[in-house]
Amino acid sequence: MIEIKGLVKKYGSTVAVDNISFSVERGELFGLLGPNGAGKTTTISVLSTLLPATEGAAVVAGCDVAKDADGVRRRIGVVPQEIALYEDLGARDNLNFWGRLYGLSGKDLQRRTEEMLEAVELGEHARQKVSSFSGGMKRRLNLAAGLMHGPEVLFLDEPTVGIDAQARGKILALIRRLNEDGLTVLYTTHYLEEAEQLCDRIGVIDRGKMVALGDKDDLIRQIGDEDTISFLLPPERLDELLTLSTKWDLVGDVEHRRGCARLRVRDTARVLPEIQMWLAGQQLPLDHLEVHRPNLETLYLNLTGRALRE
Amino acid sequence: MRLNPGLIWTIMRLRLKRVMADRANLIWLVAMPLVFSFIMGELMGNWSSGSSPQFTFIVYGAANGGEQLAEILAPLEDHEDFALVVRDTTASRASIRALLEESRVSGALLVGDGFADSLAAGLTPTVDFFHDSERGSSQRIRGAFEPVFAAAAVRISAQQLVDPAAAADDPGKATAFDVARYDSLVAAPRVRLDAEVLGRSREANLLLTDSRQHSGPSYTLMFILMFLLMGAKDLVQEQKQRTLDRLRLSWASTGDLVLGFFLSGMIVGAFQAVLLLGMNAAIFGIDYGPSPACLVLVMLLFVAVSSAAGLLLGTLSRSGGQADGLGMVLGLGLPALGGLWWPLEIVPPFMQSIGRALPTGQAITIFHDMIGRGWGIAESAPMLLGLTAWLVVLLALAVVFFRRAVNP
Ligand SMILES: Nc1ncnc2c1ncn2[C@@H]1O[C@H](COP(=O)(O)OP(=O)(O)OP(=O)(O)O)[C@@H](O)[C@H]1O
Ligand SMILES: [Mg+2]
Repeated sequence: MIEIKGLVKKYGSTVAVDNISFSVERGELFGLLGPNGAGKTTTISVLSTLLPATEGAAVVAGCDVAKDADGVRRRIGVVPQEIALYEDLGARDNLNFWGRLYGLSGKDLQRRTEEMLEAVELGEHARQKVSSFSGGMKRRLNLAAGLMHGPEVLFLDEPTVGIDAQARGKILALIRRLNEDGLTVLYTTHYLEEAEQLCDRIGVIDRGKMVALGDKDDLIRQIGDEDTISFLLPPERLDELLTLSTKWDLVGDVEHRRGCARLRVRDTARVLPEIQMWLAGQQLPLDHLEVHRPNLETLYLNLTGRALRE
Repeated sequence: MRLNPGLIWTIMRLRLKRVMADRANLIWLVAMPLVFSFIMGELMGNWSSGSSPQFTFIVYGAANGGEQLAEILAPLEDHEDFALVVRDTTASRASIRALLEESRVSGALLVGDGFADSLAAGLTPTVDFFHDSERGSSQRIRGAFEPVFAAAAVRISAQQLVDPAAAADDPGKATAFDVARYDSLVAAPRVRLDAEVLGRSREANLLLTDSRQHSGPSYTLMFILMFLLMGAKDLVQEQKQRTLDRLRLSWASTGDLVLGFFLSGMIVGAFQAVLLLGMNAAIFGIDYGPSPACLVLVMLLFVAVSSAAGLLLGTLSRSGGQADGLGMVLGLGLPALGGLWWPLEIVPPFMQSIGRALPTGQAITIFHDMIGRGWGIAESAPMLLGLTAWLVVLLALAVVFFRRAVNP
């Protein structure tokens, strides 16, 4: 559905997208993950024909973005990072307008508008001015506006930015449902949890470069599937821990830095209670005991040496 | 460029809806202009009434015109609307035409050499009357001149009934003229006026009799321009908020977008024009001259120029603040230079020519000419063409820069 080869986009001397290649299959929910300024929006702009590529080629829904912009535009829906709506008008007015601009009219338009209002749970607020909406409501309407014409491919540019967890949950559920109904989705975010929860495949982009690409589970497996357990431990007790840990099948050595012990274990379910009991028996503090599951953050850290969220 | 009227109309409707949705717009669109035109109309003195003579006249020929000619000219010399600037005995039609076309005078009387003799011989001599334009102002000059001339002609005719020699002998005879003959002479005086139109004049004084004949149209023009220039920030906002991206991705072509924006501005401007010109006509009784076609044309052109200017400003501005600032500068500067605040007639000639090169100056000049000279499309053609040129240039630039903004 989406096929990108060697895509480069420069703004003057700034290289916003630096030789990116990937593809998204029909019906897939692909996550493009990266921090601020990574080049996510630029990538989407090129794919949706809003910006010309400096180099490289991209085909979306069978149409070349450089040669058949109209063909691409007809088949895609775009949900910009901004609330691209007329806030001085009502929700229904907005959807009607965008529908009309895609050639809908009369009963079809009416039906589609009501359908979308229901889908994003804004039926009750159809007449209300968008400016009076909460962040989550605006985001949902922004999403609906990109769906009015029933696209085959949907580009979602950080559709959950700046809203609370509950509102985000609603949007993610809606996207999942759309995807289950066959919509191909390219989803950009800088929230790891979202990419992990939502996407089948993930590309991690940083400073215009694709630093990792693949199945979500594969990516995580690259880092290994051991958990890391850490807790506070006075240095003089380290020896006791070392003796104890010989029966836990550790990966690598026990680390001890700045009063904190870290061990990587394969069988957390067995080891964790034992550590807890030992700490309790020694009258040592339990409240700093933590278990880290490997996730994209770890991957990202490993790949770039920086945390994902600056 | 492929155009889709349905999409253009959709875009226009949306923009109009948004204009109506914003209460603040109603202030600038309706309230301010109405209040301003009303107050300024009430406040401004009648700067043109009681001023110097309205028509400059020249009288040629008739070295031996005699008393009868003096009889005709005396009321003209006394009349406040006329001034006899030159008397010349060597004139020809050609020299009169030249003077009229150079706008040195607004009218001329040519009295033939045999004038007095013809009268004495009982013939009906003709005085040729030339004036400066094809339609409107000729009608006005003629309308003002003819009664004056007719009165004089009747007086001259009546004198023919009296034999001066006999009257000197016997005063009784002088009063014994035939009433029936007198009546027939009034119906067909012994001196005829033959009016002919030559050339055109801009320099001839305007016949504006009421300050609101200026303030009404000028505030209408100013508020239309200001409102449509203020609309520039909407386009900047559409770019910033990415609604413009959504528009680009839709079925609407660049042409549809440009036309949708441009025409919606025209509708808003036309609405303002009807409202404000209508109010000035209804409340102050302002008559916009004899040519409705010219009135419609000048308003359409001016509204189109303003809409194109707003669109161009919107595509060139990088921020809403910039658009607003520049819009204010232009929205106040162009009216000032173009003679909307005060009539161009009172500024130095150099500033007048600058003013008349600007769309604001061109539009108000056309209004003055329509109202004060009774001009129509034909007489105002140069100014109308000037406005058309502005429209073509501004719209072309707006399209070019809009395309550039939309297809990076
Ligand atoms: N119009 C532009 N002109 C110049 N540089 C730009 C422009 N748009 C983006 N950039 C630069 O290109 C790089 C990539 O920007 P982009 O907006 O694609 O990032 P992003 O991943 O979408 O970031 P965010 O999470 O903040 O939305 C950034 O360094 C940005 O400063
Ligand atoms: Mg972005």
